[in-house]
Amino acid sequence: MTGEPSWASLREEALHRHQRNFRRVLDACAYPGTVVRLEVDARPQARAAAPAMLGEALFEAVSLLVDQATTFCVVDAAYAEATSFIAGETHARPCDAPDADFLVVTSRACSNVARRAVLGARAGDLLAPERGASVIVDCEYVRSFGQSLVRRSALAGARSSKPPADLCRVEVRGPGVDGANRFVVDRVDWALARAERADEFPCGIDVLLVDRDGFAVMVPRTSALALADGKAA
Amino acid sequence: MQQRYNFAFFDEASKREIRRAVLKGVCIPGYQVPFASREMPIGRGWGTGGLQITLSLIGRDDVLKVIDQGADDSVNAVNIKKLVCDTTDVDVTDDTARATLIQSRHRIPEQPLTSKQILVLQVPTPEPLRSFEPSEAATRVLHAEADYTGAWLELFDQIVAYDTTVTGADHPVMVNGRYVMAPSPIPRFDNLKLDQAENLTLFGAGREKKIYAVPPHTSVRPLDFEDYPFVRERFEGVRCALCGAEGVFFDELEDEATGEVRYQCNDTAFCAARRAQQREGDAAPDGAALGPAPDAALDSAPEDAPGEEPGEEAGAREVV
Repeated sequence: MTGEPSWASLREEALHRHQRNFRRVLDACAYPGTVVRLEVDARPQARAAAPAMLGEALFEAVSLLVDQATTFCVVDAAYAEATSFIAGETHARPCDAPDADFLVVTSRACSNVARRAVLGARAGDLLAPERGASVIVDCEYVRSFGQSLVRRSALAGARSSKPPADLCRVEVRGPGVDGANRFVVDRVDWALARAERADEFPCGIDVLLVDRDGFAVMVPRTSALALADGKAA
Repeated sequence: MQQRYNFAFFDEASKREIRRAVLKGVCIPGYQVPFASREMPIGRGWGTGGLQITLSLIGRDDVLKVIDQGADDSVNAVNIKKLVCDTTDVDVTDDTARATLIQSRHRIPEQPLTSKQILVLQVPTPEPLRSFEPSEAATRVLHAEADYTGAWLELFDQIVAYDTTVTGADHPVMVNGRYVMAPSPIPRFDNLKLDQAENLTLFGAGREKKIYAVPPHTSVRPLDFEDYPFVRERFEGVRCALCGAEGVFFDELEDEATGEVRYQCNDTAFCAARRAQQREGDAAPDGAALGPAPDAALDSAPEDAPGEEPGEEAGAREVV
């Protein structure tokens, strides 16, 4: 006998982790612009199995929602390995960006590639706006603008990255927001592309930003964004 | 917990499908998202939609409260709690403030909910246009085109016939200035609690296979006319015969022997908590101890704020 956990206990652990993470994502969706923190599978084996461009937190977000009933597209200069890994783990069907239920934008995807993918993402139509794509974006750094905005589901005391020098503050207004919520993020290509799309509600895309430490924030299609710190105002 | 089942009864793929629908529902407030409603060990029409949402959301740390028509101990509520407990082992409570997940049939609790709570409402008929348009395909087009003439005409017909709207419950509401939504058969008294609420409200219709949502801090306005504004049920001068509360939603009870009419709080947990507090001897003045004081501002729909026409909310700032 070894001290290794059994398959059943690992499955049980994953089940409850997914439940907790889903509730955090639901919180993030209901209160757009507030930052939550996702738990990740901390086992070294889990980390070793995933391709380098797929962060643990990004894959955790993907595996929460993507499965055999959905389609996905990895947006990355070298997407084959990540696509194969996600398809293998979730049994979801890879497809082109305009047909995908989920767009997975890795941190390696340059601004141009990410922009083109977000511009081409499915918006749904008036009869079925729920078919608008969900875009999951891997970021280097996502944090609330002021710790008071971190919701209850944020975990305290875990490892935390140093903030990159070039951060942009994003202000969110709309349903789910009492006044305005603010967060900071290292990339805004998704936001610029979202603005360029100019979707008319109820059609549109819903964006989930996840960073390497598991911090996540959601921007549903109902949210109005304003960028600060020189990027746009 | 009965280990014969997966945690929370459903397999993980079913939970994921329901979770995806819930998220899309929150992203499109008031829009009915179709989902693959599962067979449940309770009959369709007995809260399977709400139950499916609850089971896909619930975790080991949750505290569950289930109410049916305001009562924690009615048949529907008891059986739903039993099923959820048998498959999850979560704590259940009657105390609204302690609950993290509240499943309800036909009422929103008297005690205001917070951002740490999720309300799940069971919905028998999610389509507010169904009474005049039987075709699902046609109502989808009407929603797509925001053509709600029929909903307005229905209220107009009631006013012509009765000089008032006669929607006892399920009075249609406009959510975020875009979708007309059935708020489930909550009394009109509860309709305004959805407007700019602190909590997320989810609606599940198992038989009709629809999930929809009202996010927190979202505009929810009952349909009404300028000259016939929305009015909720009035209970002026009425007090609960058990706890003395005023300004809450009451059940009217008639003594068959004497014909005497008396009123009791419809929200049994609210009433019981007040009575417990009174027994402890430190009850606050009647009507103010635990629940909302009578709020005249809630008696009718708030006036439309300038600039809150459909679509303006999202476009008020520079959009990025």
